[in-house]
Amino acid sequence: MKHKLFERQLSAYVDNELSDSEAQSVRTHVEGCALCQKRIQVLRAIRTSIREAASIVPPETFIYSVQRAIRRQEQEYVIWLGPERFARNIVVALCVIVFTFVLVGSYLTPQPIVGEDRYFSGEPSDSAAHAVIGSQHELSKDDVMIAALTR
Amino acid sequence: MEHQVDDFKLIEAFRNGEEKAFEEIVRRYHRQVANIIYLTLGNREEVDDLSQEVFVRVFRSLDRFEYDSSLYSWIYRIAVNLCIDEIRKKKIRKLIPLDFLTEKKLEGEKKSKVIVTASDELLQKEKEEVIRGALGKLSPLHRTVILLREYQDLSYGEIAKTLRISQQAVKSRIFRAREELRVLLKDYFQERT
Repeated sequence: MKHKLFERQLSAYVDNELSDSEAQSVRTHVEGCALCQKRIQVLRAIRTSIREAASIVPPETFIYSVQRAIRRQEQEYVIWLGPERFARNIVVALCVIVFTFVLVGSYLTPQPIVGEDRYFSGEPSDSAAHAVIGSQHELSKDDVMIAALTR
Repeated sequence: MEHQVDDFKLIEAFRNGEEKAFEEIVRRYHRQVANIIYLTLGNREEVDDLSQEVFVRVFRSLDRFEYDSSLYSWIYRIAVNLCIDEIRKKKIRKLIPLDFLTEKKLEGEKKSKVIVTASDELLQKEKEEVIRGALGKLSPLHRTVILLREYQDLSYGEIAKTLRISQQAVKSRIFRAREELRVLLKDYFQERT
């Protein structure tokens, strides 16, 4: 394998993420390659430096600030719970009222007399029969009967 | 593995109403979480608030933990997602004011270090700044993956689970992140290695 290919493996090599055979062949190459040895040194130096740069040590009292934040959020939730429940009840009540109006309204509205009813109630109107079938040609009494039965 | 079993016992205790169990989880991981946030966002000001938010979310979601990953990688996922949200919110990719990390500045630092005999502590602080600056130059995805590897010491498999990406993607992102860091810190590390 060429040097460039080994070089690409060095990152996974320093992380011990290569298979045994891959690691062995990289190790063999590195032993005889000053450039790769230098590269490994740099990668390890970067690692050490990143760990050193993580210099924040939170105070021991950190847990109390977390607990305070949790309590604060719970209180806010309880405060909002009242108006939220109220709003939900209002919406439900409005829905019930609208539904009731629609139901009562449809029950009380007089139904128009449909074509076949007019025909059988003695109105000798062809237009009523036309309205039943929706056709423009001359209708026989049988046509009207069929139309009335199939409605 | 032993640590993981121990973590799972803490979760069980938390679910059984033991408040001390949550306190122990916070104590165990707050330092790592704070540093992940610090190194990802690049400034100290937001670390306290965001660390707090991470653990509030842990508290709220612990009942839904499904034991399909380790507790720490689950907590890091929450922290990383929070950081990524924060980055998106601010719509910035380069988070740290990094004017000092230009080639000229690095060159200047090298020269000044020869002349100035600063204390070890000062040098260490400078080095940390340079590293944080270099991390800030990486894309958030590369930064996250390299921090989980280098700082948290997670394996590729654990990182893949934490970020919900493939191991191959982890390997490739770590490689690219290191290449970027190596180029950014080239002069700095040549001096010391």
